Amino acid sequence: MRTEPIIAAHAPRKVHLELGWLLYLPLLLLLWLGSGRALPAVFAPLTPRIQGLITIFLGIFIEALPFVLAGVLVSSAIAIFVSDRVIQRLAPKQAFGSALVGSLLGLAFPVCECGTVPTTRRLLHKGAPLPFGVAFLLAAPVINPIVIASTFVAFNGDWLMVGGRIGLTLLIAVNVALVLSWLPRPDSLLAKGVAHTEGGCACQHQAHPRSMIGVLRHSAEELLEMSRWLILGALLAATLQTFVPQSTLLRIGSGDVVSVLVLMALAVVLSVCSTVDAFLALALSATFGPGALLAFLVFGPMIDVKSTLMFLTTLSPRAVALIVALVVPLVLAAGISINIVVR
Amino acid sequence: MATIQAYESHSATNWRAAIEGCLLVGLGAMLLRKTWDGQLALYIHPRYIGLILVTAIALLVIGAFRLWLVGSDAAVNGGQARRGNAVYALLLAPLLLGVLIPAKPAGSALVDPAQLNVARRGYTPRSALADADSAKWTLFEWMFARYTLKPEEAQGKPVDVIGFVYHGPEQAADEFYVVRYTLACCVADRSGVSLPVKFANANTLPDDTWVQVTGTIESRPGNGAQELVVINSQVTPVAQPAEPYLYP
Repeated sequence: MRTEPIIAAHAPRKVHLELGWLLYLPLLLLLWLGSGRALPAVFAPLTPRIQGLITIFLGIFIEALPFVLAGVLVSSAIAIFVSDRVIQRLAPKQAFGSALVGSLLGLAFPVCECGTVPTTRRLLHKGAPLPFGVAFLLAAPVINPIVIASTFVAFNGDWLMVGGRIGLTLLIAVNVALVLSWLPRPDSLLAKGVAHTEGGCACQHQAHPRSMIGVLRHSAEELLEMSRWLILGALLAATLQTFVPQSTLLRIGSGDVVSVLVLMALAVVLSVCSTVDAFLALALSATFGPGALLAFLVFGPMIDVKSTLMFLTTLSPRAVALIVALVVPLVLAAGISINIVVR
Repeated sequence: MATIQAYESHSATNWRAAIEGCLLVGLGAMLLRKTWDGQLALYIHPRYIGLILVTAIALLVIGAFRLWLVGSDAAVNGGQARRGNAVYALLLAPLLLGVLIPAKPAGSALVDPAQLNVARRGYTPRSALADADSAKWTLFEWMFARYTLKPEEAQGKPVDVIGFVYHGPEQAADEFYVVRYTLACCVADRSGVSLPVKFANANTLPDDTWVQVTGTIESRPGNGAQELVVINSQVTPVAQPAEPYLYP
């Protein structure tokens, strides 16, 4: 009987389905508070705040969507038109070389952080080595012509900020990628279905037609996978922005150590694109030292609520946690050292 | 046993393709609608509107392909990633929140009083103070003026600005702030610029009322830099501008 394994596979999903309904409660709550209808007087002052939250949420979501979609289309085109062998030949076998090439790939392949995730997912699935994918994932949002140019313009060619941002990003991306590549069983670091298999794509579809129609069909699947994490991230970022005012964070302190931590926290909360964060850093440059500003510029594109949640489509939760656990102390140490050395 | 399983997987998969197709088409339609009625300007910098339009059309096409699969379960039974209710709740969020909740620009509820008029050194505005006629300056240029003009230069300059009303937590009863947000990219990176306005009936103006403020500038010592206050003010309620933010 072929049906036995199917039943087994369905059983755990039942539980998952029922718990899933719980997520409609916060959504209904947002709708109720945001609409301001039939609201007890105690909650009435919340309505403008919730409407603000929704505006920020839609702002992040709508702004990110074209870039996620572009990433998804690139990824789907690679899935359908580029053979596994080409990808595997592109990336050096040796871990360091592969991490270095991966971290520089953004120069030729300018995608911002929203587009990086689907592209990385596809490259890994096509059999690119893990350090190559991880280094690309972490570095590409900064190491690309658009972001380097915007940093240069914002800081008026200040070599410490521009060079520091590029150098630190490369250093951290390559090192984190190397550490991950030393772990046993690299396949266990990938999200379910991303591990390389001969033929077939991550979603185990039947072979899609090798045409634009194939690309479009494939994109729907991938877009839905990415969007859920994008939406969750945008909701969290909007909630934090609404209820934790920037000044509360900034007031915490400006010492050599605390200021770095504060701007790293701010980068996580803001979740803005790497193409504009240099201009925000500029607004903070009156109050914060170069170490803290660099930490903001290096940390934000690697780790923020919106893009880090999207990593879960590509890497296992363990790998994502490990990346965060490695990037945080590295950026912190770099920021503190720069604060102390550059006065 | 075998027939029940076959039936279940068949109907479940088709159902999913239908929901997902509708979600994608719905999202595309919402973006088209928001482009059409100008609401996009509440969320993002207008330079991205073309990009959003292309995205909306792409979503409609991709969603239509998804719906097309409803009838052909052969292509679908290869197995999409399994998505539960939690995922659909998330995917529904932008659609429901975007359609059912009245769209509002970022307003007084999001003002962080300590972060108003944060100087943006080196961030050259389009026409910062180039125009000698200060009545043409926006709140953004006035933020600049606060840091670049000497008090005696600022004193007595005419003001004519549009913004929304915000009452600061420690503000005198006969004063309010006229506030506008500047955007670089989307509303998540907003930054507030404002001028305090001396106005006898300040407390009759509710927060978030859009007003045109005319008057003259008085310089007074402020926190760090001088503070420019509008005096002899005339306050006229106006409609919310089509572009509620400033784009330096």
